[in-house]
Amino acid sequence: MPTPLERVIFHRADAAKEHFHAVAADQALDAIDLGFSERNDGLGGMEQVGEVEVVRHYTRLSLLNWDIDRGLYPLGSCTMKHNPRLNERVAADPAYADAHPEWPATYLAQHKRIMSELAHDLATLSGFDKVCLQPAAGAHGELTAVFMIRAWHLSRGDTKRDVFLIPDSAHGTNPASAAMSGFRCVQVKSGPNGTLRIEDIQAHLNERLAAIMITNPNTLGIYETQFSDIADAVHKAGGLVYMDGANFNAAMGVFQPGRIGADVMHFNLHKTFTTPHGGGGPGSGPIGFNENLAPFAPDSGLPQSIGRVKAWFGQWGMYIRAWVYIRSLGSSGLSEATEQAVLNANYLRSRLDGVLNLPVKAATLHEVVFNDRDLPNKITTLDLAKRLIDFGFHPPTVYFPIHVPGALMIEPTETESLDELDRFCDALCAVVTEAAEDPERLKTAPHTTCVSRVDEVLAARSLDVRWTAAECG
Amino acid sequence: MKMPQDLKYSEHDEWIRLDADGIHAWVGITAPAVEALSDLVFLDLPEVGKEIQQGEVFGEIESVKAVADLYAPMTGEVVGRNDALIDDLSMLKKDPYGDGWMLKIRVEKRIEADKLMKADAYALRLKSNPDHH
Repeated sequence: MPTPLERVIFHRADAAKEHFHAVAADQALDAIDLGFSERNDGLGGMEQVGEVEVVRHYTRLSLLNWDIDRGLYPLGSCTMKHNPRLNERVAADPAYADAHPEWPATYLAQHKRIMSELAHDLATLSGFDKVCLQPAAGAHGELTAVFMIRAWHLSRGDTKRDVFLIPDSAHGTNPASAAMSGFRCVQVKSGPNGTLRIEDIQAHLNERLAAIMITNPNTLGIYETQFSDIADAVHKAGGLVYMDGANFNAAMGVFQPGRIGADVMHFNLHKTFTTPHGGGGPGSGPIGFNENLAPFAPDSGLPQSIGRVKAWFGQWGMYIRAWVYIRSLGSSGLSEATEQAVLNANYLRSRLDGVLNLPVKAATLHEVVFNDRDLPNKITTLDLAKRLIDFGFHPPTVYFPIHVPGALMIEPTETESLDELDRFCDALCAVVTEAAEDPERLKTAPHTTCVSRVDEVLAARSLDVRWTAAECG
Repeated sequence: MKMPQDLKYSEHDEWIRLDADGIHAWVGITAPAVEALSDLVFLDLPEVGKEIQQGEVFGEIESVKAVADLYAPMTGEVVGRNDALIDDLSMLKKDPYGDGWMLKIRVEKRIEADKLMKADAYALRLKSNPDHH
């Protein structure tokens, strides 16, 4: 039975005419004039709707959404882990939630201490000399790092280096950051085991090489075993090594990128350090880097700095949450969390291997990539993902990484229980059985949502999100 | 899978039809490539007058799943562009080797055609590498 569709709020204007006022004006009890009456003549022709209708409308809309508080959200590479309520409790303290950067310095002493401790903790975990908290998202951190790499080369009079090496398994933000900074991106193919091999980059180790960008563990969830050797070779050729920290959830408390050859890396506080994703709050992408890059950092205060990349202190609300998370777990708790994330992903892998095709067999850490190669009746990854919605699960990441055809990338994170993992595996097994017995059921899924498949081509080519009274009738 | 015999194919799934005049050629992408891309959204092609280089990216095609680069099968100057295709990508599904053409080029080095595959070799390559799509 599909969930009923929620109409746009303008359709509810009629309801406003009958809405109930909580405080009815009475002869004996004069209502206090709150000054709302002057504003009730409508904003730019917008319809009037009663408060209860507004509240119900948005509550119903929120129920159409899926969120980590309702169930598993196994998007690979996104690390959709539970956001501990302790973080929220501390962040909601008015001293933190209402803080303003122009408060007198004495009022901000505590906030600055927390930011400095967070930067110190991130440096300790990653093995880098310094951390700059400013960047407001992972890709923003990447871009900041690429600017710093460029500034470093230029400061040495090395103006010919225009090439960034980027593996075919990389997140799309990597080439975007490099290209936006004026570099030429050269793609490196992963080897048969899903990892980079030093022989594949040998041809590019020359005076044109500016840097290599490596995600470790990579987007297949595989640890890049030749990372240090590749980093050494790149350094010898005069280049630098950027590590994409998107998958730091498999590294936290276990290995330090700064100690295995990376020069700079970004963190996603909203992945690894349990601050909310997307609608739950802004992202935050601090960067860690070594001493040689420190003068170029946005907050170095030196003339070589690339300059500020965010106003004031950045996303303070995320810093406080990440700080609470780190301090409530401590070093041993953080490494346990990492181990649990790896264990959970490997439990899924072992239960689903054979149910779905595992295109790369090498050992994986915090996530695992299957694909649709062996599915019968021309059932695709998309059909599988859509049908999972009917079973009450958010689909895993689909069609990424792009070098695996029909990829289905699952990352359960450490916060899921064995019971929840089993329920997910059971659902996926049931869907694969259906693919053989009742393929039409998958082709037309989802059946339980108010909107089933949307016309994605039309949505991409002729997007129109304006509301006009005429169109709604 | 049946491939038109009169075309040459690149490893990036582009086809090229050399005109009988020995100077011009039409360029497009193959049916298996169109199928692998799924629902197409945008196509970005170079303007008439631009030079394209064999093996280098000349444009982009975007589907609801991903963006793919288009690689030039041969070197030459763009003398024609299928603007109707940019407006209506469904032509790529209906007739990838005909009305779904992308560019008309003035070929610079005919010898480059020797580096491309004939229909049978391309079909064999698809067969031996099913994961490619």
